[in-house]
Amino acid sequence: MTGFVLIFAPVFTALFGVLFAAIVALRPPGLPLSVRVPQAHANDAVVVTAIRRFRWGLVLAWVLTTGVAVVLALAGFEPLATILPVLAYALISIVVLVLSRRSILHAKREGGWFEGVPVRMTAQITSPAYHHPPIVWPALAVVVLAIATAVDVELYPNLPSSIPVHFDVAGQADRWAAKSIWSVFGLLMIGAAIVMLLAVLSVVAARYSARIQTDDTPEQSALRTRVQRSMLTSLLSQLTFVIALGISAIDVTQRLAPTPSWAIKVCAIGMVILVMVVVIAAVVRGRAQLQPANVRDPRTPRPDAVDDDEHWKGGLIYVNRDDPSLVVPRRFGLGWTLNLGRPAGVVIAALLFASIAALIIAVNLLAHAR
Amino acid sequence: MMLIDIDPDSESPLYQQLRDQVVRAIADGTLHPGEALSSVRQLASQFGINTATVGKGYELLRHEGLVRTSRRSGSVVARGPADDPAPGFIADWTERLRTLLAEAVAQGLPEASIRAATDTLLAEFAARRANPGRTSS
Repeated sequence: MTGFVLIFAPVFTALFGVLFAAIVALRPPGLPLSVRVPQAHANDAVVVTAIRRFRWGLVLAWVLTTGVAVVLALAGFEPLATILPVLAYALISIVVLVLSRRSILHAKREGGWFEGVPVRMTAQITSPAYHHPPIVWPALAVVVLAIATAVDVELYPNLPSSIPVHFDVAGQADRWAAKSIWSVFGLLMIGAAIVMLLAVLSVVAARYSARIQTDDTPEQSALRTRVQRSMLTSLLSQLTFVIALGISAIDVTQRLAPTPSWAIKVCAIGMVILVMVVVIAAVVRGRAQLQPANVRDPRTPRPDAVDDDEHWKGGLIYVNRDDPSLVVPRRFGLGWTLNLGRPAGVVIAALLFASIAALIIAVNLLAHAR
Repeated sequence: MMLIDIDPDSESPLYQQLRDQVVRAIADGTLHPGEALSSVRQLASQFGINTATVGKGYELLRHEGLVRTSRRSGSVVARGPADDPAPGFIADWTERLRTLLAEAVAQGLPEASIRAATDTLLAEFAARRANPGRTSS
């Protein structure tokens, strides 16, 4: 048990860190550490140093949180030893980002980097061709969930009257329920709901008219936006399969072999690692698609994107009253973020925050009520 | 796919730049009559600017009869090089042309140069229409 706890947080935070660093590498050239800079300054020493500092900060945060995880695990604070370091790592990496981008912001302000620099905003006035997200992954996800359901149906008559419904971080059953449709098929139902949500998101992502990051020729900027969109839609669609596979594996394992807790553990960790691998593969693929197109005629003057730093608090939170969009592409990383300059954005953010808090409190209350 | 490229530092307001680029795209065949345009909201979302700004650009185009908006099909290009000009257009346009020509004459541009410049630009539009592979600037 302690061995597992010792491994969980360090591996998880290390994967998270690799992902974070990969996302930094995917940034458009004009957005180092989520600061808008003109092309002419994109490779300045201050920018390169700041990115290096950011990466070292992530490594340091990992060493620190791993240390905390080990100490907590050895001291016997077991649930805390897995959750606290992961949360702390996420928090510290945000602080590292905010701190390391400050030197770029400072140099940009002092040097007047945007003075006299030609800037452009680009948009498509005709609707772009709509590409369906790949259908094969959600289809495979449905097949896998159907197989797991069939296995459960087959085993149902012979299952014990008490079914494990909750497992602790070590994969040991710690809560049980009477045999019913809900206790046997509940996990698969959750899996089906997640698959459906991701499939819907991938369709939304394919339809969404994304903002073009204008730090290049209009055509090149539009291409990057297209590549990023197709990367996101195929990623979401692949995740439907990965998550269906993981949940089905956990489900079937706990029906067929509930006693060796390591088997369930292997399935759970396998799913997390697979998710990370799929995300990193998508990022690498997206970069490869953009590479050949990045070779351009150096004589063609390229306008820069408009300096919109004032709307990005800490480089992460978007607040712009004039922007009619409720969600905008993240400046840092994949996916979207809410526009908190709109009342609906604030309401949705508050609801999301409240529901996450409620979920955590509910899980804790249930765990203690046991 | 037609891209609108706007310079926020320009003296010409954003809605004017939007309108000008759509007019040019219709003239050089990048946009055809009947082609659907993004809605005001979609376009403003893409730019990240106020819907009123984009709405003003569309309003200009509607007023000129180059774009029409219906609830069913949204905004579409309403006119092209093969159509008749909108009513009242010629008088309006002649007034603006008068100013443009006056600018050239006031600056001392010879009449032949003015004619040559006009011919070159018209030939450019026609060439783009005939060879639609190239994107307009």
